[in-house]
Amino acid sequence: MVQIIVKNVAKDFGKKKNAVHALKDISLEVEQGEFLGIMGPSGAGKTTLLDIISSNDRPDHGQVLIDDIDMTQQHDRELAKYRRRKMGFIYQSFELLDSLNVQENIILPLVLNHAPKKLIKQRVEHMNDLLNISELKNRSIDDLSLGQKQLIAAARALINNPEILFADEPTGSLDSKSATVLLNYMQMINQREKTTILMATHDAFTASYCSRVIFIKDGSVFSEIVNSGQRTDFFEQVINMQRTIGGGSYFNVPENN
Amino acid sequence: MYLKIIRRGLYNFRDSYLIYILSCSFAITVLSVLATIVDDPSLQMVRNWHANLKSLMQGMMFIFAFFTFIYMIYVGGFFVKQQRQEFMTYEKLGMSRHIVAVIAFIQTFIVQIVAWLIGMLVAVILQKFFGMLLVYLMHVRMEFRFHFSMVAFHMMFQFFITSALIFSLVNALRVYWMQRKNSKRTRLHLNDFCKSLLGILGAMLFLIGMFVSIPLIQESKQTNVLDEILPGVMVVMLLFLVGSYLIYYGFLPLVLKILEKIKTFSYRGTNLFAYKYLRKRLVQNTSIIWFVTELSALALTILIFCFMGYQIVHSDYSNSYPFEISANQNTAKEIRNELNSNGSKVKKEYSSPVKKTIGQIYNQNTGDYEQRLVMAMPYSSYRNMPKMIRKNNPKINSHQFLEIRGNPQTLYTKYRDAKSSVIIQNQQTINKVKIGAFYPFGSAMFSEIAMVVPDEYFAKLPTKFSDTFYGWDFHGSDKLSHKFIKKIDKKNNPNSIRVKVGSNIEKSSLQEIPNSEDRDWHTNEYNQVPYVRQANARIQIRQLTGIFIFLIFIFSIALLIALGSLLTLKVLLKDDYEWRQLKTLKKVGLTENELKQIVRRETSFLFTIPIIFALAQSVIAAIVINVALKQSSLLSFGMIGLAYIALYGLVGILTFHLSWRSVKQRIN
Ligand SMILES: Nc1ncnc2c1ncn2[C@@H]1O[C@H](COP(=O)(O)OP(=O)(O)O)[C@@H](O)[C@H]1O
Ligand SMILES: [Mg+2]
Repeated sequence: MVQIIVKNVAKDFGKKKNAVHALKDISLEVEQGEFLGIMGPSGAGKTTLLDIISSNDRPDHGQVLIDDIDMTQQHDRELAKYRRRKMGFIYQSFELLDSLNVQENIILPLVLNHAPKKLIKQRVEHMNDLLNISELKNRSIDDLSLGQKQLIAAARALINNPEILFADEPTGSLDSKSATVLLNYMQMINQREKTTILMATHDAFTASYCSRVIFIKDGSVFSEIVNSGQRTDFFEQVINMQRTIGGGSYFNVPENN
Repeated sequence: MYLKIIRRGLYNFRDSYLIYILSCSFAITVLSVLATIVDDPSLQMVRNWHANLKSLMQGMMFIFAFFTFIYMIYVGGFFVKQQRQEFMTYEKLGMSRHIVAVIAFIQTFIVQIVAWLIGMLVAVILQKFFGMLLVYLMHVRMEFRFHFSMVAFHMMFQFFITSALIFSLVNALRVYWMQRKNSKRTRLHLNDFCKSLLGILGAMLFLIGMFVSIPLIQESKQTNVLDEILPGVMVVMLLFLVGSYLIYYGFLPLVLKILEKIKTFSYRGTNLFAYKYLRKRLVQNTSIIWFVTELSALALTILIFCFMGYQIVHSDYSNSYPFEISANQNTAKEIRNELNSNGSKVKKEYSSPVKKTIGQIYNQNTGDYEQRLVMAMPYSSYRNMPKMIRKNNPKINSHQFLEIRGNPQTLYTKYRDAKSSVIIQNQQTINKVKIGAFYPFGSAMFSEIAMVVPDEYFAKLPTKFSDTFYGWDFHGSDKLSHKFIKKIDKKNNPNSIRVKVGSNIEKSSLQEIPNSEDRDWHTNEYNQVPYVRQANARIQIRQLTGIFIFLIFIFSIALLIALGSLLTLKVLLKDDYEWRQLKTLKKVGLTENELKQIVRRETSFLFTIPIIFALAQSVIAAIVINVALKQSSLLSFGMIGLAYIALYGLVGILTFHLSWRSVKQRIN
């Protein structure tokens, strides 16, 4: 079943003369329960695309339909409600509140939804065990390393079991062990709970967890590869595609791989 | 490129600069108007203007100028602080400190020029309006013409140049200094525990202040002397000052912290974030909120005081002059003839026989009986007096006695209910008298004590010192000419009388004493004026109260604008850190309504606290007024308090909308 339909979306930033065409006419469809990777060099428009699909931002042209609802026609209030109920976000810049401590940051989405205290406690313990962050509980955000911040951001995104998870470079600041833990968990919820995941990344290893990867370049879809089930093969395919697109220095993949 | 930097700095804070410029402009307008009014040629023609009123205006102007100066220099510093980060970056980019300071100088100077130009321009436009308002309030019948005073303009211009230079220089120095000591900011930082302890102490001090002021109010109703109550008032004031600061510093943060810790409250929607946010804002702005609170309390006290003063002047005035003209038997005939011939429209003539005798009266202050002159009038004449006069005294019937005293203490119900007996010479003791404060024919016609007595009682009093008082009511005014007044003044000297106190009241006697212009008056020597004319007093009273209202009006509005804008600016000016937090909240999924709620809470929090504490503290006004003016201030207290709440509420709502607008712009 198709859950997300993106039709001819375009987005510019800035005024007429020196406008940046971040997205030019992008269309794509995402099945329910898919783990979609979005790849492309820096500045390709990955973040912008995720923002528009998640209705954080509105496109200049085109439509975004989620569960047959046209998000571009909805009122801001409806959108906020929808996002809070169904979506989780891991932002590239984490977007943690440094006035709150780690635990408060994690539970924020549940508290905003007026969840009962028992459920909050249960969920937070679950996330702590899973991502192995229980000893960070009472720390202040300022004292965390980048990697730890990313884990907290992930915990916050996952705490209310979102139907759709948006992840923008979720492993960008993680060491390979933490990255593997997080990716495995994402794969697990994708398979068990049929959570749809949209993940932007420019790391081939991270992308190899996806069931499908689309490549965008200069604001349009360049190509896509589907994961046949063999992760190492898929990894090779991704690397090859990256080479094809070029602009190698933008990628953090070693040249002599 | 420097110009670009300056322009950007101004543009980024345009909302806040606008508020600053507008409030400065208002102050400058008022200042310029006052300056031009002080030496306005048309006002020079008003009687009494030169003598007192002009210097009163001038004094007020200087006080106003002083406060304006303080306000402008203080608030001007906010903007420099806001741009701190930016200035630092310039320095890191290799700009010299001097140049950054010059940039700050130019920025401030531009803002000052704009504020002054607007202010003076508006002053020119509004001068006529303010002048007309003043003339109207003073009840002077004249046309207030527009007048461009070179002297005032010159003075304002000088003030403008100096202050603009000073402000700009101060801001430049602020920036220069800020860059130098940016690395280490040594500030006294107590830990949360100590702060909370101090906060609790503060709350206790404040409560003690409240509790102490209650008996002080009671006491203030009894005593006459300000000195007796003054130490108490000082203590209460000190308790309030220190207490409220410590409450802001430690207690309110503690309360918010406790709310944070109680999960039933804090794990509820936006509360998780909101309490912390409020606490942070409070801690950042402690001194400002305190400053606003104390100044508001001061302003409230002054306003209540002035309002009461006005009321007293007014009631005293109508107390002294219930009739357009009152006269005694020496002048009544002449005045009546003149009134008939000059075409004055007499509405009604009242009259009453009056007998002077000696009475022994209880004095509440000394607790002693004293012998005083008593002027008695019969009940039947009193009953025929206009209702306006009688309604201010307690009701009596034809068998009762009414004692009327000029002492304003009689206004207290407690005093009125006091049952002291009165002994009149050669008469039986009167056990029960009612006590009023409003003299028929006006207080100026009587000396010390008047008594309304039953008709039979009056008939039995000795007639050696008797008189008849007259009072006239008019349609319009009395139309007596200057010449006539002069003539009547020349012919009728006031006659005087003395109570020669004997060993007991029966041995005392009344005797006439010769009158000379400049003699010292002693206790128990009384002067009987031959007539009282309201018109003489009216002009002075009206002019005085007119100026009074005018100044209070301007002063209170200016103060309100200044303090309100201070709070508004504090709400509007958020640093980068706070902006980032609000943006993040949006990304985390807060709806617009929830964000709005946070902004609303912040605004109402920052506005409500000063209102509450300022109102609580202005209770001092009530104490002092009770003693100094001998009046219950409850009514004026309530009215001014309500007006204050309403106006600050309005400013608060406006601030909320402005704040929300800027938040919405920044996060989208
Ligand atoms: N808020 C913005 N204002 C102006 N330009 C923007 C904004 N956000 C993104 N861009 C521009 O749009 C393009 C795409 O950005 P982005 O989606 O962040 O790329 P990616 O995430 O793939 O690195 C870039 O050229 C970027 O400079
Ligand atoms: Mg990006």
